[in-house]
Amino acid sequence: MNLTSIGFILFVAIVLTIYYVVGKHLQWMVLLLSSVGFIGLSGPFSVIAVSFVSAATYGLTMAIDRINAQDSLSQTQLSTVTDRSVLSARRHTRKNLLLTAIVGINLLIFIAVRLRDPLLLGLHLNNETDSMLYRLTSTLPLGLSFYVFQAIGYAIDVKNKKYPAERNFLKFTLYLVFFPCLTVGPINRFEPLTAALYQPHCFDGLQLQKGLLRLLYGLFKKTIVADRLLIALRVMDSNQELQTGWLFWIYALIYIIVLYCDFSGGIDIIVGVTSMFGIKLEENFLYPFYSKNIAEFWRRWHITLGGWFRDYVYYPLVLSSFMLRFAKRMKKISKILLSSQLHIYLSTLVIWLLIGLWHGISSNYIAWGIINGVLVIFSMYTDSRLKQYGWFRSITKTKLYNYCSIALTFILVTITMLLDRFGSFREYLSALHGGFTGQSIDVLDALSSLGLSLSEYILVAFCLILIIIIGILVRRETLDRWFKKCSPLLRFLIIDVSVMVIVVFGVYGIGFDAAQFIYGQF
Amino acid sequence: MSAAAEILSRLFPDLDIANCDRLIDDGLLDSFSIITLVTELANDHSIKIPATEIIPENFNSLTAIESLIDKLINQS
Repeated sequence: MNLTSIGFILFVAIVLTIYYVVGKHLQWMVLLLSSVGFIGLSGPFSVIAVSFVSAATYGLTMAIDRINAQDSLSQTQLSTVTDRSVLSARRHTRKNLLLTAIVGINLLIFIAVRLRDPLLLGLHLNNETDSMLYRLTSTLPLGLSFYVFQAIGYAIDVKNKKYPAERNFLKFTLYLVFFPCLTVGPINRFEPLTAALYQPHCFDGLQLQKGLLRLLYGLFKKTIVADRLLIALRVMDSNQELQTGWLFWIYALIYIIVLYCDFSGGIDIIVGVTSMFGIKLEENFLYPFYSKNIAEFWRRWHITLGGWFRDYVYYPLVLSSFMLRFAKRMKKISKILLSSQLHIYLSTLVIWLLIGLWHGISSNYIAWGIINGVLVIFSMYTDSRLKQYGWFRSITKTKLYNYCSIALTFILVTITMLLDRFGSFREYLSALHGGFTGQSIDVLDALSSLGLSLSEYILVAFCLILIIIIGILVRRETLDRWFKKCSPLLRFLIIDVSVMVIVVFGVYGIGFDAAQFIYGQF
Repeated sequence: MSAAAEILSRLFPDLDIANCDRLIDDGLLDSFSIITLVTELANDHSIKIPATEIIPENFNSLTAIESLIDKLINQS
């Protein structure tokens, strides 16, 4: 179900009504049933996949939890240190085996779904007419990329005794399948989300209105800006001539605007919906285009994905015995900073390769990961080297340096993000080459042939300025304070006008294929 | 001077490490600096900090870092 559809809005309205009407102790059940229903609407494969992931992760994590409990008990009961350490080592091995099984099962499902087409082709099951498996898997499981990683993170935390395993299977399943987060994420952590999910919530009119306003802001970004520019982007996709010379850079600019408004708009809708239920989600964006280098950009864009890879893969990898021994050896060989920090750079590159593969198993995503990894390493290295010099530190405090850094980061991000639009790295390089060397047709003529009128370009420009202003006001918390002070009638009017703006200016016309969210495909 | 204080003052000569209690919150220590610090503690001082302990609360001040190290030494 598309987050911008009337069907989704109605679905949320019905669930909200039931949620606040039933007894508070039943609220989490309402969320679970509605989430299962939401997944059911996207096809049987989605239900099978989530049931399997949930059951396997729950069962194996409970086994890890039992070992943790035995471990704590033996700390007090066994008298000798040797007994305790022998038992502890055995239990550690068993826990590692169970965790490997959980990670293996989840990753296997994730990879199998990603490689569905070549796998079915290899098994000669790609004929639509006679293969039930082909038909069953024709719709990808909803939210798989998000709940698989939530399940793995949860299992690692339980194994590390960060918190005990959730004993109620249904409550655990709700953590994985909470319906607003199934389309474009974010990747939620167990403790903060479930603390809010399982708690009873009282109806709060102001909270509901704020949530609704955030939802409308998401719809504004998605339907007025992203979906409108997507029309132009699709025309440019279908014609190589429209991706040459200056037009290539316009194509790249349009894509980064579409990607931001589409993804952050989707997250706005989700955060808005969940806050109407009284549940606060972790933010996934923190004004990414104010970043002064690529490393900072990735701390502000898709924060929950970066945080997941940092905590569950990067730290364990860079602090593994192997990497620490490697660092020690390199330090002995050479005293220069690059060699003593080589293990950090290598681990960073591995993580970025994995993040690239999370987006898709193809050459352009591998290249995307490596390029971003190299850029992050470069920014970390130059930052640590140059900040040793007083003259450089004083330059970094100037406004000019900050503006130039922000502009350069934006250009680099725009160029690298464009890899999404091409089937392979080779195609991307060829287009990039065309951008530098090709002769474009008249830019104004080309823009007028992209399916958008002059008034629509003006509308998009106006909306982008508005998004920047709203961003500044939200950052200073001015908007929130002002909204709280407004009278109920004024708040009602603001929401009413916002709905009208979206209905009038959103891209919906008859025959228009309402665009799915770009991040939904990941 | 503790091992952590010695490494931090070498990595950040300009920073008043002893009197700062918002090293992470104010962005003075990022993941790159933390890993550099943890690597040096492990390799030069045999103090191994597990990945599970890399959380902001443990690195926001020199006192917090030293408490973490004391805790890990006592555990081992």
